Amino acid sequence: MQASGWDGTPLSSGFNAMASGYVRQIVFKVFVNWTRQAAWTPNPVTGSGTGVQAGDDITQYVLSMNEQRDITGDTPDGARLVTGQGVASISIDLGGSPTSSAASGMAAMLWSPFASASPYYGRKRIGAQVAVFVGFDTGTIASPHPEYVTKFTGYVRSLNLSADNSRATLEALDPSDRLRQVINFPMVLSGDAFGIDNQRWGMNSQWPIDYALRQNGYLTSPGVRANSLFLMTCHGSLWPEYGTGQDCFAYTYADDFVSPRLTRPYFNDRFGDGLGMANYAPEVNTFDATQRRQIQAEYHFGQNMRLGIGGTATPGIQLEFRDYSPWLIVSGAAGDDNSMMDIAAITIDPGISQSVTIQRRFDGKIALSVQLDGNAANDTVITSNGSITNSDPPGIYIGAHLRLNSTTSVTATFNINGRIETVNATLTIPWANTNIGFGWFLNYWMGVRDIHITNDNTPNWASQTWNAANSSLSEGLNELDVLLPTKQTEQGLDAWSTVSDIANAEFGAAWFTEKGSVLFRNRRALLKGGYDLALTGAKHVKSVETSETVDSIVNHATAQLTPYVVQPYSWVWASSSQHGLHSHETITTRIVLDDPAYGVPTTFTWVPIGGINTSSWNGSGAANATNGYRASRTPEGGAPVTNLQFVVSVLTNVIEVTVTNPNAFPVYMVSPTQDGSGNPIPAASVGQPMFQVAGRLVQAAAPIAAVTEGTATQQANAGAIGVSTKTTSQTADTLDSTSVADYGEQLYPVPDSIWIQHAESAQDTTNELVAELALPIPTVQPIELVGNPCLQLSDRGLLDTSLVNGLSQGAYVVGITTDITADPSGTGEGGLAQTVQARMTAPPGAWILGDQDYTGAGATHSSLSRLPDPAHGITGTTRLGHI
Amino acid sequence: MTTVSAGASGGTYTNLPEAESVSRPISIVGGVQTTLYGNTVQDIFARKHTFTLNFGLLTDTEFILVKGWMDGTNGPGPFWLKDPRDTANPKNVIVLGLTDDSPMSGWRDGVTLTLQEV
Repeated sequence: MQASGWDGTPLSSGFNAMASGYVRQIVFKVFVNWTRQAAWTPNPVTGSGTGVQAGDDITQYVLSMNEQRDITGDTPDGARLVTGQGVASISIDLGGSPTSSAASGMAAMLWSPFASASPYYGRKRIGAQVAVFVGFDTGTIASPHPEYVTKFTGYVRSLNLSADNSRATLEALDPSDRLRQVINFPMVLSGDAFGIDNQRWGMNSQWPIDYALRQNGYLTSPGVRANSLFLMTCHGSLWPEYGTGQDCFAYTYADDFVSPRLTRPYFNDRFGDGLGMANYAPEVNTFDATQRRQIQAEYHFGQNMRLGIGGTATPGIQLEFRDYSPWLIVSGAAGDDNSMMDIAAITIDPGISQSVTIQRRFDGKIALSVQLDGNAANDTVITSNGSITNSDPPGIYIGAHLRLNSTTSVTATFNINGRIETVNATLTIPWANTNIGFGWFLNYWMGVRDIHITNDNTPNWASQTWNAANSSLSEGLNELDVLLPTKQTEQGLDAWSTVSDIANAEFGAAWFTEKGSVLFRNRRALLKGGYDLALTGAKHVKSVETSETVDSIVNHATAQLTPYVVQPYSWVWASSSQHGLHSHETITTRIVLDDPAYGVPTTFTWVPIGGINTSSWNGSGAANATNGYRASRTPEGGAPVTNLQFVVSVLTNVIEVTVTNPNAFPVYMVSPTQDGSGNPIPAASVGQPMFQVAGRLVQAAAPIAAVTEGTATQQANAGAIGVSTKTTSQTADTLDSTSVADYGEQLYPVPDSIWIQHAESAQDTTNELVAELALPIPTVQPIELVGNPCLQLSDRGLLDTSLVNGLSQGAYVVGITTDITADPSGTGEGGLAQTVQARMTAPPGAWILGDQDYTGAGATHSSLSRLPDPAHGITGTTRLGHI
Repeated sequence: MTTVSAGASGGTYTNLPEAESVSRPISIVGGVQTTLYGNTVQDIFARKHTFTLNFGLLTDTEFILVKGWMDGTNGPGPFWLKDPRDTANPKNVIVLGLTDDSPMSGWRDGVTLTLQEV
């Protein structure tokens, strides 16, 4: 449910009362960004807003609207679990001008792409941004008080015009329509089974979802900036979004505090040494005019950090600087869209005045300033400017900008106090010429949403535009051992298809909200939780259909997973042709491998007689791995050349090798007659190409069909280093024998996916599918409702139509069709109406047909109500037969 | 005298024939939904005046004058209606319908023009 209006303002009690009332004054607004303003924020109350141009408000032309939101997926029809990706679209019927009797005001002219008199002539109509707001007017005719929620955000997909009936239809799709950029993931070997370099990044499906979205500007936390040095989002993995893995280890001590196969990174008390920047700051070499070092670190604590609520009247989070008594209150309860928290920033500048300033208000919501001189009179209390709303979820951001001169150190200590937890954080900044330490001591586990280090040379909070998050992601349930980039030889998937694939693989769902933010919810999040609203037969429900069908049962689920192996170091490519270089020539060879290669060395070694012992590269000898070449002054093998220069660039399965001949004579990359020491090279090799690249191929498991039937065995250690052959794929299998006995076997093979890699995750998937779907839980759909513009996908409602059909159960919404139509007389069908597809959140409280094991209420016949007489239904159906 | 203008907010008004009666109810534009338990929910988008002008006997010339607002002769509308009871506040209206029950030639009887506020 949307709890706040279009601008984040909490909806009034009057609004909510009218939503469930018997007389409702409905208001709506439709805006189109015809002129493609970059900053465009229409205000439905005023009809104007940032960037809004004359003519953008097309409300006056609207005849009716139909909006559809659905989650679609692969689960069986009628199954309680509905997962996949959501799509929202809106169709708006448009008429002509209600105020102009001129011909140009007719719909056929107004919306025609050929009518130059139309104000919309020549605009980039297709693809223009659309915003639709719907709400109620809780005021009076004399003193209206319209309140709106955002109902749709998207882009014009089509604009069709019928000249004969003078009516146009504008259709728009949600922003998924714009996420068509092909995503190329970095290559990450995250599974701890690999044990490579003792790195345990951990990764679940949240990370690639986040990455794909971030590449398209959908951010769960602030993105990379111009001065970023290192950014670890922590969204499902410690693998940094920006910067290198080595950076991450150097500065976060990741291997100390990251548990294997983590589902979400956490700091714990082992992280007491803090975020080490010991080797970092000197590399920055950014100094201000007074030769003070500059570095800025930002922490975004996750929305899972349930810091306390200050009280029911003033919910919020308190941030207290222990010694100096300023405080910060951030209001907020969990919202549906904006997961990024309002931000406080800290500037510590002992080189100037020993002051701490929390100076920046973010998103115009918080302002705070603190003086560190201990004089309370100088303290400035952090204040809200009144625009803090309950759309701001829990979570907090702390940033620090450090500037130190050569003689000063400073320690600042502060608490983050809450009703439940208390966080003590100590910031200690000793000075040394080559060492700046910086750390937070956290005495309890705390979700860290990201760590961002920049070399911003001023405390730049004030100048940064860190928009509110437009993405909110559940934890991913599929652990990933390998993240592979799109092969350069393949057509990659676009961002939204990738996100949808990942969500589908774990039976989660991803969709866009009414405000245009992205949500990803895993299957557990969809099914669990309290009720967002009550839908009663008295006020809301117009009709409801229930059905029980065998199609909804899954009592046997299988999932085939695709483990990966990282092959030992070996040659991954060798030239089969002679490469010749003119004097002083540079050539680049582009090598495309079938499988990505990991750990390709950047060095080239002249291959000695007898070759290089590649087996010595494995185990502790990985650092010795090298590429190899030989070169000769003649193509058929002449005098040796040993001074070629190489530059290696690795793009996963594409390796580019640039070779430079520094000599004043031609060189051929073949075996010469002798090596550099004059030892003869075997004649069979002389003149043969010798240009080869080393690495470790990352390969998917072979299909299980390739294994002889009856001999296949599951390999528990798939992916272990040293396995030189491809492993077989594995299958997770769950069966509910009781359900099979009652209903027959209902097999559901989980669709194959490259995102199912890990045996435990796959087993969790099939286990949870069968647990949820083994019983024939009725579906309740469609439900026709008196419309409520706040209703959203995944909302859970307590559905109470018990007077008619005994139904009083929870259901969650997986599809909403909203109609806004008007009957001119006001007495017929019309108004704000919705048709909802829903799934039960729990089994019925009564008995289930055929479920002999059920012992709950209503399980025995004696406790059952009398079976209802169909002739006594609420509509008084006439019987056809005799009584 | 009821006058109608095809121009923008004012402009040149044309006098309509004198109507025998004019009703001015306020209508609700919206819809009524009935819940499962039989309650009704009245959704309101707007409240608008509906003007129903009942004319007596009209000559063909007078009828054509009235009909001109219905058949597009005077443009597609909407038009401005100046109600003699409230001449200071012309209403922006569209023509919902025109009925003509007259069987007579040369004369028109039972002509009703229905206008609704935009």
